[in-house]
Amino acid sequence: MKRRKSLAALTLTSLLAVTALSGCGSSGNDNENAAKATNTNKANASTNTSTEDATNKNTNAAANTTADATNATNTTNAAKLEGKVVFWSMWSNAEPQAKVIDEAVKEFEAANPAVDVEVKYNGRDITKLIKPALESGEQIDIFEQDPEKALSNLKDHVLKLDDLLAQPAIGSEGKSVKDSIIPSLMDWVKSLSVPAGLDEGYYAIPQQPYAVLFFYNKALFAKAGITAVPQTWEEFMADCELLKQSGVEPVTFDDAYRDLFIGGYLGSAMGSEWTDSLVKDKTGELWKDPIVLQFAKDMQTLEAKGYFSKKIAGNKYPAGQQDLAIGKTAMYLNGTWLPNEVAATAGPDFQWGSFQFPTVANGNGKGGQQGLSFGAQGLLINKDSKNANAAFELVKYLVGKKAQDGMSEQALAIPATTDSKWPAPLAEAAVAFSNAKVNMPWGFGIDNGGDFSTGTVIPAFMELATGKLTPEKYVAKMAAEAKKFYGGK
Amino acid sequence: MRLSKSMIALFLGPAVLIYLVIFLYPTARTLAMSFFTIPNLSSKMGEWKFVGFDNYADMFNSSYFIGSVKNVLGIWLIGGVLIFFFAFLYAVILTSGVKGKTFWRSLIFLPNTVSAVVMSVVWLQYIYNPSFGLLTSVFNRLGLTSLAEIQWTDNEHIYYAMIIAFSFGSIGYFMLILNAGINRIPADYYEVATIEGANPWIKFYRITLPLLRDVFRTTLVLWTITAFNFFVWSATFGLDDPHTVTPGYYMYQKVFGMSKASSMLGDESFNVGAGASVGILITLATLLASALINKLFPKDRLEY
Repeated sequence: MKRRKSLAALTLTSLLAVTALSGCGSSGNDNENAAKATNTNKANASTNTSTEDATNKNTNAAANTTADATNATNTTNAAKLEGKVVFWSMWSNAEPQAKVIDEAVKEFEAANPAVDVEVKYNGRDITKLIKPALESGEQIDIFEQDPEKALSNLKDHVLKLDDLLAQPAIGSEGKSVKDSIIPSLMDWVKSLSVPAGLDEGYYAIPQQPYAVLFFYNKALFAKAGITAVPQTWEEFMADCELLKQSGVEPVTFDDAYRDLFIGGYLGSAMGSEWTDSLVKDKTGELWKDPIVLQFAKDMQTLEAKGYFSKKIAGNKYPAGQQDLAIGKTAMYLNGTWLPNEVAATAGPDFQWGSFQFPTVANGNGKGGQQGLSFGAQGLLINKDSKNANAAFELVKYLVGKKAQDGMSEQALAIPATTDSKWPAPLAEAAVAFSNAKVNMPWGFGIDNGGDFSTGTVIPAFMELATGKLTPEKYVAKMAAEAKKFYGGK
Repeated sequence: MRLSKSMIALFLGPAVLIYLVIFLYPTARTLAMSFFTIPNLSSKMGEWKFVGFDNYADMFNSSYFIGSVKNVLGIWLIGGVLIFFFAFLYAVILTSGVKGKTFWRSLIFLPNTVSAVVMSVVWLQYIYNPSFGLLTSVFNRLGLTSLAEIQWTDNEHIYYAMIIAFSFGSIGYFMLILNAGINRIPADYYEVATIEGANPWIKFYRITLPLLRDVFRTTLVLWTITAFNFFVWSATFGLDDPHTVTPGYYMYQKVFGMSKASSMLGDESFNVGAGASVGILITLATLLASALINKLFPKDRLEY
């Protein structure tokens, strides 16, 4: 225990050091590159400015196929591409994803020496920064965002990619970029366009797909004598009992993911549309649906039987997921990024398993395992980019097989390309992806009530999960609170 | 020498101009924004939709916002009592001729030099942590298992846990100001009092406190401004948790749309106008509180 702690502290400090060092390193490189690029740019400036014009796409594509037989990487990009491409990434430069991106950029620059690439690692702050930056006209050619968020918030800034997607992919022989990526993700991205008020088409290239699943410690499951993952709520409860008897805490979660547990249950029973209408119900009557009482009773059972970790009420992210990583707790409901996040604590020998939220009885048939809360991050191109062709060429490297293999191996992320191997800790997640027919939003819709969700739904659930509210009182409270909250509107 | 009016205008001009541009204009614009629905921070005026007092009405109807106001008033009161009690105590001790004055003063001020984000991680993950946090370990070592089992960061405790953590880091700052104030009081008064046989308590109540009124008023105003703009600790301790949210963080949520479901909700959680109205209310509250403080502690010049 003690050793773990000092190990964690050491990891933290070394991470900090690495951040600081790599920060210096990359800025140094940037300057170097910038200096190099300005020279080459000056030399080429007079010869070609056509890449700026979208209508020249076709001529460029034609040129692509004929030019550059000597290209070392055997890809079909044109040496004509030039200028500057600015890429805003959602990773921070200490994360393994950034290293994979750096390698892809290096390879791109080797093949396109006239293009100067500037990668800005914003980290998750990009969500706050991107909109004002795009609107103020800052040069950003490629940016990384959750496609769902990006299309609804930034729809005036996204470039339709349908034509570009037909270009051949890098590293996947004979396939277009579009065909090299997992089809269900492509379909999902396409399905977002019309609801966002755009023409139907592709505006984002999905990558880093994720799904919300229960992650479990296989060793603890085996020790408890559990042979198969639970499919139904009854099996789930039975497994909890076995785990508890074997001396481990069955389930835990952190404050940041409380919503997943509520949404997971209700979404599994009724589907996310119902959950959405539940938190937006102005009368409060929907909370009196028998399924809510059933949910409350099941949560009470989890609490009463000690299946929840004693610390769920106080867990501050990432305290709970660390408990999973050190083997104190058996299950944790989270996104597929979890094995990567806790890799330093869990160590290479941790046996990861995952399963979908169990099916819940007495639902309306719209939930179950056909619905999965999945998504992906997306690469998007700025509509006003002056260098869209070069930008797309870079994107091809970023979603090329080599980079995606790198994401899988180094960042334990699910590769977007169809023919890449999934990282071992996520092997079982493939089952959920193949079950899924319906995409459910984050939190299965439970967060859609805005202030009502954060201010009432989640705190009331915590009272339930810590045994401070009986199921009946929970239902009454929720119905009354909903009516009160929406009464003023 | 008497300055002519044009001379005064010439010297004051640049400062006044800068003040108008970087302070008054944003304030006026924010006031205007609070009456509109605005999709995002950089929207042009043409995209603004006039809604009158709707933003304000929505806020007062939202139990979440009202909760955040209660939170901040509690922080002001509880945190204020905690901070001023210890700040006074330390300031008096430090000026009483204790050994190693500079060392102690630096030590108490030290938490102020650490970023608030780092401080809150330390408190959350190393002091309040239920598995290996300082509190749990100490109580376990002392055999007080019921105290060791308290979840310091659960819904019941997190608010007070946050105030304690925040106050711990703020004591040094206010101590330093009070310390300087006490040092300014001439030593003669204390000497006379000592000769007359006054004990340290009497000296504190009869000499230090009255002569420190001016300084205390200033620190109180400073504290009020700090408390009303409480933001970072609210973000690090609870994010959007209603138990720790403050108007400052609520404003941030509205302006930057940081709530988890902002993509699905559109205007609902991403309304810069609503954020602006929160900002206006914070400004008004601060002005009102400062005026009240000035009324309660009239400014009379103490000459010594």
